[in-house]
Amino acid sequence: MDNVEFYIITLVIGAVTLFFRGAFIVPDKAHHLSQRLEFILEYIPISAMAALTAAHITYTQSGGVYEIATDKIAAGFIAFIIAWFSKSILATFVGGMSAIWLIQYFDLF
Amino acid sequence: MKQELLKGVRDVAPLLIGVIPFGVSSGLYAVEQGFTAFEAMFMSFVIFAGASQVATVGLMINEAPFWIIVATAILINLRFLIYSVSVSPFVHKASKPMRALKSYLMTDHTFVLTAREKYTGQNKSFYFLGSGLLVWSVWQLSTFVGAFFANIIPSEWSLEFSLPLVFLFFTLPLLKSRENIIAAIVAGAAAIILIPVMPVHSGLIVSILLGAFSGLAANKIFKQGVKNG
Repeated sequence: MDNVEFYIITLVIGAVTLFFRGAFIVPDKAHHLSQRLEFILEYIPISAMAALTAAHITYTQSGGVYEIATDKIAAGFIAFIIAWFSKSILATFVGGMSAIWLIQYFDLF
Repeated sequence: MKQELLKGVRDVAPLLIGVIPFGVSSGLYAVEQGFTAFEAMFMSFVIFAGASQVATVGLMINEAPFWIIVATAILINLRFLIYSVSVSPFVHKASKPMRALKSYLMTDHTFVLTAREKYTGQNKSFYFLGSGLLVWSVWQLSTFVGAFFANIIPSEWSLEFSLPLVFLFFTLPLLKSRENIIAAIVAGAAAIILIPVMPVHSGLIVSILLGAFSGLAANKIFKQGVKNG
């Protein structure tokens, strides 16, 4: 990807995102989102977060090649347990990073 | 007015514990994937939406087609439409440029504080502005720190793993209903299966859509069950 493409894509995404943010705020006349559309959009945030989490925990990627990362999967599982019970981002972060370092140091997976 | 602004700053401060590692991780991730620190910051200023920035970096680095990159980011950021509707009654009295600024500052955190938490202060518009400005500043600073340190921190430290940890933490509170859990399981499983094999790097967008439709289908089925039961 060349530089020009990077800037064009970033600006287009930025513009569309800003449009979404301001769609009902910036116009003078108040508008409403149909309940049907609101219903359709309801499950997108959870799906996006789950898909990104699963992809980033399961694979390491280099040059477009995906490899299953058993060390990250194991550390991710430990982090999930910590996050579930602690409800603390700090504990999740420290626990998950400690887990990946220990797994890699002892070459456990 | 000043009081409301400061109250917004004060109330959003505890939520920054999630913003800081996310910002640092996203800056770090962008530079580790081959972007310059300036490009990482440019993206952070222009898009200012973490999950879509990370997805965009991943797709760009894999040379995914333009429309796939843009469509994936749009899908992830569609939630801002709902936020915009919810927040509009509180910020509508402001001038147009101020409304545009507030739109840009809209994040998950400002939305939760202003709309969901039913803040009852007199001038919610400034409350929104105060919380939005603090989240924006901390996000940009955190991204800068991540992008700056990416070239200094050895790759053996596996700091890129902090990114899925942050995603994981943000996903858990969303698992609040059976429908959401089904959507998450389907999207997660689909991402694992489809991302490496789908053509033109469309795996992520297809996974998100599959998850969202599963949530919708589950909602209909459960509602039908309640009616019949």
